Amino acid sequence: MLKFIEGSRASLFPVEMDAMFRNRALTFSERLGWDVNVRDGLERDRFDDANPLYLMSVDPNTNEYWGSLRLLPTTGPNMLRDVFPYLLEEGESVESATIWESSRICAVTAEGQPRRSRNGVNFVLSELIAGIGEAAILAGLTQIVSVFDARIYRVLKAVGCNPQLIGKPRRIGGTMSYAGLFDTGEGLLQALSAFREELGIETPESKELAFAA
Amino acid sequence: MGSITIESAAIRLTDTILGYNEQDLEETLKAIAVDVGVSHIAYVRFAPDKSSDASLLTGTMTYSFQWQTRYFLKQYVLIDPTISYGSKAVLPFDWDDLPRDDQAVQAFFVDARHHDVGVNGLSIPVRNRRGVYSLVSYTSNHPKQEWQEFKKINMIKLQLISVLIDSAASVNLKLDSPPVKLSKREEQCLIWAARGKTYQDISDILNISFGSVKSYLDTARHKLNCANLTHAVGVAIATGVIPAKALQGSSFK
Repeated sequence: MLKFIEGSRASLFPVEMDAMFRNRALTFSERLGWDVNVRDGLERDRFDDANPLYLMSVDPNTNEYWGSLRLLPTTGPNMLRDVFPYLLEEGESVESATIWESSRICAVTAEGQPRRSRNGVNFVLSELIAGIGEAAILAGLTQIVSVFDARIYRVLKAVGCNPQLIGKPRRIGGTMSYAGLFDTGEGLLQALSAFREELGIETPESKELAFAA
Repeated sequence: MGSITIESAAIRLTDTILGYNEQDLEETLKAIAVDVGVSHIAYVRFAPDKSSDASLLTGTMTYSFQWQTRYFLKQYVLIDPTISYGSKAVLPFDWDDLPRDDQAVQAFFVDARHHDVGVNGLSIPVRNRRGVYSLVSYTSNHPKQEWQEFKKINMIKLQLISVLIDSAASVNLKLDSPPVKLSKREEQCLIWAARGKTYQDISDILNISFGSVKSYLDTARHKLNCANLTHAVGVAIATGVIPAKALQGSSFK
């Protein structure tokens, strides 16, 4: 199940947030070797203080954390502009009311997760990408920009996002990193619903908008 | 309510940003409300020092003078959930989705309705380069189902308009706006677009991906404070951001 959590409301979801920061430390510091700040086993950065939108995948039965990503408008502070501008050609930027940035996508493997699809894509990652499609409708977006590694690039291709690379790939930490764009909209949602069918998920996952006071 | 056209609204705002529009922002917002078919538009900018002190809000809105005065005198800003929620939100939100358990909040919405604020409300948070948060709200009196449809069909356009309103308000507040400087790729794409080339043509000519062409043109459009590409081309030429000469001849690469 997907949860949309406004950064400004994160304190209402302490268990989910803690699991997310913990998994981000494992994924980005330990596995990918990125130079990220980890304190007490939690990875946080200044963009977490900028009230992003978190998309979180949780076990629909136990509410256990399965994976997450965060979205930020490109009109304000964002990672590509403020941290990774060297991934783009000099002087280039991506900045528009209808383009948001996705970052820190990661997932855990847990019992009870649906199996992988034939092309080997992890269920949680595909659920999160489907969530981007839904967020795009709620926010009125046309494109998503992101910095990702080769694995996520393959996932984006496999689920039908048709990601297009911009700028030039660079080694960050121990990993080749890419900046890329993909379209949101009906095309993306159709590709994702076909993907869900293949996984044998009959009902669309319910999502919970975190409006709690 | 159907699909809205935002062209004339956008042109009003771009003109304000360029200093071609002498109308004050409130008059401009009134005209835009008519253009896009909503009852009212309200723009609020939150103080960049993150203080929650209500007195640090600045805003421009089309509500009646009577309601604006009442809102101030009753200190509604302290209980108005669109402000407390919207000051840090990032996703657009419908006022119906805000928590209303509090009786004072319920009474506030009833009072707002009596003063013709509108039955439906949608707020779109905006973040700008300076890291400033603002909120643009649209209200209407349409039946719920039509309103849902309106939001669904028009959200992309409303995002675009909201960001333009924020830029126009910066001009209104006499904040200096940075001079428009396009990157090399943005300029190349815009010139080919001005020459009537499609995204695909430009992608082939410049040997860059289709998605990049879209994003370069969209970023250029955003920098030029326009809501669509055609208008962006016009503004770029009129303001000299791209020289008119660039459109002649075929030597440009």
